[in-house]
Amino acid sequence: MKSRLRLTLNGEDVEVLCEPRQSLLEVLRDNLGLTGSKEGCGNGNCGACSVLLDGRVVNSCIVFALEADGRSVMTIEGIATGAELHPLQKKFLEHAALQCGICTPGFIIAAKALLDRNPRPSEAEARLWLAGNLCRCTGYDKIIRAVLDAAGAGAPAGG
Amino acid sequence: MATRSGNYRVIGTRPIRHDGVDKVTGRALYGADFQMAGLLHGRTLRSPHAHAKILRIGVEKALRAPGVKAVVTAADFPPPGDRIADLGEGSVKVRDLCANIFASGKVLYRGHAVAAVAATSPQAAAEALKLIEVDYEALPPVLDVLEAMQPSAPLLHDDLRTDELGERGTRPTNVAKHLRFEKGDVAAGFRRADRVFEGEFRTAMVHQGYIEPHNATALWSPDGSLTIWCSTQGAFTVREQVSTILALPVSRVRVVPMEIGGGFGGKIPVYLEPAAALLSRKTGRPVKLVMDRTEVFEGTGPTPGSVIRVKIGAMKDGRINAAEAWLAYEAGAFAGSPVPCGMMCIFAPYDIENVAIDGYDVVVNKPKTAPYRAPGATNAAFASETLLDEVARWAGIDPLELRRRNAAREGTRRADGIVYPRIGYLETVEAASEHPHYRAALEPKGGRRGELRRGRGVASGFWFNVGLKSSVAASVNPDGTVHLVEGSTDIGGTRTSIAMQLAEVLGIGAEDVQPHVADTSGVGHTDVTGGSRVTFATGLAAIEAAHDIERQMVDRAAALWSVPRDEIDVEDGVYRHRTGSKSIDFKELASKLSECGGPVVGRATVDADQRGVGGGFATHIVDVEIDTETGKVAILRYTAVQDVGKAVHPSYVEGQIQGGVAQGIGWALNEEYLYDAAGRMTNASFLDYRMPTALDLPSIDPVLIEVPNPGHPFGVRGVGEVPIVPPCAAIANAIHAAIGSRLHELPMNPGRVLRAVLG
Amino acid sequence: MTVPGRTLREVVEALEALHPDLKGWLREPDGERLRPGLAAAVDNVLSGLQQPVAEASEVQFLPALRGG
Repeated sequence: MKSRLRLTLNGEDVEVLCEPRQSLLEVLRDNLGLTGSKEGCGNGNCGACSVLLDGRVVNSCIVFALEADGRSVMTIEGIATGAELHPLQKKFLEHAALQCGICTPGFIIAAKALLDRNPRPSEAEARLWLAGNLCRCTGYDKIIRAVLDAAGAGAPAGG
Repeated sequence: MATRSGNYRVIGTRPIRHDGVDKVTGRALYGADFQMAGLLHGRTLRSPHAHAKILRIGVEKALRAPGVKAVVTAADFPPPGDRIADLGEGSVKVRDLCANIFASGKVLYRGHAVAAVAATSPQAAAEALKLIEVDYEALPPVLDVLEAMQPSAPLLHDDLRTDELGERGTRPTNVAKHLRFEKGDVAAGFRRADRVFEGEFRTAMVHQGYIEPHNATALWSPDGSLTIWCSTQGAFTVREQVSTILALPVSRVRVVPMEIGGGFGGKIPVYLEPAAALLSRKTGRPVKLVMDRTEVFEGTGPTPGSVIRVKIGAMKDGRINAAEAWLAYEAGAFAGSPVPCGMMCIFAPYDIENVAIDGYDVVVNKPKTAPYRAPGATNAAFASETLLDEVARWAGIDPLELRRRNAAREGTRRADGIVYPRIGYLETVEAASEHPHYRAALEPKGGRRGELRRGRGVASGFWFNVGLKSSVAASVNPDGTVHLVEGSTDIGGTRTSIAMQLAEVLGIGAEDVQPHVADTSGVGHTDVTGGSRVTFATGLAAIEAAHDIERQMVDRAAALWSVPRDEIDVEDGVYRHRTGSKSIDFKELASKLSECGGPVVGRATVDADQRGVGGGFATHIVDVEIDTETGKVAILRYTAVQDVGKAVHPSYVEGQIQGGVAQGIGWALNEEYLYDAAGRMTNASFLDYRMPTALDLPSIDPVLIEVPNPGHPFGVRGVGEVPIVPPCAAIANAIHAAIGSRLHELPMNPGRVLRAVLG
Repeated sequence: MTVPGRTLREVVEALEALHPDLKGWLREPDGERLRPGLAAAVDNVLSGLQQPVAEASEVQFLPALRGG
């Protein structure tokens, strides 16, 4: 028995039918065709599914889709402004902060939430904030540099 | 080809990777993102038992469930018979290949696939799994490699006999193979030694930990052709494995590689593709199967746990004159652990006169192991590099100085017989000993109660790297850009490093090359993205294709100017008529191709093993801080020095080093498959299988040493795998420096460290 | 040990003649390739059976290895 889900998705009002048991991640990917958010673990431990729900980072794999009813969601697809990449996206590219790229959407979402709250985080603050996003390829070094550079803080202390 | 030193225009720069925008915007399509009209969804039923006979599989109820369109089991395979396949890494019985896709007769590990269902939704498929009835007769499992080697151990395979140094044994066993390398006379060497050191070491099974689970979509067309979309490290190896398992000619199978979210070796074997294909054949519709994370842990290919015994004979001046190793690796449910690789790497950085290495490949009731980044070498280095630290301490010699005195060089013969060409091991040791990290003071104690102890450790490592075969084709566009088609799936930025090499030869910019990873119908045979081979081997193919283009462009310039082609010189992309004043650059010539002979397409296919694959060496330095009240080990500082030959794109070379080190740190401190007595993995989630997060790691400092590989025009060596080899030993040595106690078992988690502190 | 041969194939055939128990162990039954799991290096470079072998060349047999 499907329910109606209405939300503001990447700035646009969207309406879709979904089953109550579906996660927000599933609805985004399967019902709405936005495959940028990824499933890495299905139980909220890797952050590959990170989206912003009313501006807050959540693991969309453990949020019921209907919890987002009437609220605003931002996914990786909404980060750029038209053809203009967000500074985080540009810095990830410049710093080679991705290798396989599967964790990248989640990291960019989480990093945006960090910079929206704390425009000049320290390296330690950035690492703590991003500890919920797993990356197996990069060892995090270039990701942290990209985030701090996007914040205008420059490279982390110690090179 | 002579190695060219001096300035390159493109090699060594850091362009934005060609697929970068797609990946930072979420547009890049990975296997699970694939959609198609009429798609059915599959789920896999897996064994709850670590070891059991399958008495009966009943699928009737599942077939009647809502939304279910088909169920498949091992019975749906063409009979494998006695066929043997060579999939590039050793002979394997097709029966065993099939049996790991779907269990036949017996289940050999918890998570072993038994059946798969295709239904109109993933939920309908999951519900249907519960309706498949399987009657098992549970058998005792064997979960420890030493226990499995005992004559009294439960046997996994009735027909397994030990390949004992080439002779087939007669006794039923779990020991699939015994190999030996020998050089000189170890007994005499140990007798001459001033002191002999021995140690036994244990490592646990660990997983590659890629964030993207396995996936495959298959469409079996009414015309008998099979198309597969999947995330893989090699479209051609998928084609080969699937055609072998399903007894199809390769010409009927097309594999389209999607973007891949990490592999590290674990996405070389197929798991879901044959099942998806069989379900598609039964239903006449495309079928997609995606694993969940538990399935990835329980049903794919982690790397072996192992027991390794090492013996080293040393002289007072630190010279090692004899070394012996005994390695027993868990192959998992079917034979084929990387014990030969461990044997090849264990003493590889050193010039030792007398060496004897015995390796055993042993089956146990755990998932069949698959390659994991320098497979087998990390286990081996943990043992040998830790014992070397003891030698250094006894001799009163700095551990890097000890390595310098024993360093292998060009001309040194390794235990397996290979003589080294030009290598850069010594350079990594020297660079490490001169590095500011090594010279920085380290306060031995800290914390309010002095409970924090600090220590520094070093270790070296080696990986041989592979060459194998790659093919490329490249067409010149009228605007002077080049469309490059290659078959190496891109896990870490290689489409760009390959494009850069083509660009360098042609005298154009990296941004003027459009690299494209093609499917098996679109490019010539290309071996896997693995073995640290792609930038080297597919790069070689791109270089040759570029030279092929250049030759054709010379022909075109000659036609354009009506002069003989041997009067034309080309340098840095400018074509000059030697005797006249005419010259034209690549871009402009490209715009005139239709007037002087038509399109230009270059091609090349390379067997890179014939060219001189350069081995890779690394020396790492790590500072740790141990909380002696909790056993927690923090990494304070990490420096990884590596001979990379020539860094084509330094950012991605640095990234490979940092990533490999991070995996090594996880392996050293936390990661392991925890099993209960019944053979169930009890920590099959990212919560409890603890991989490093951003908070667990400091900045990892990669130091790139470039000792050019004579086998590659730009000096490239494989870089991806060496970085994971030294960390476990480096950290063990640092822990010893901090608390005076040497751990011989991985992971060195807080519980073990605390026990060592408390004595 | 020293054996005669101008190609790796001839070297293998000479080895098999000297040690009959190596027959069926070094090569596939059709004799066209080394058996799966075995690799050979001529002068430290991995090679196939067609590889020419020089006067003082060194041939090693190794396990076929791979990476990850």
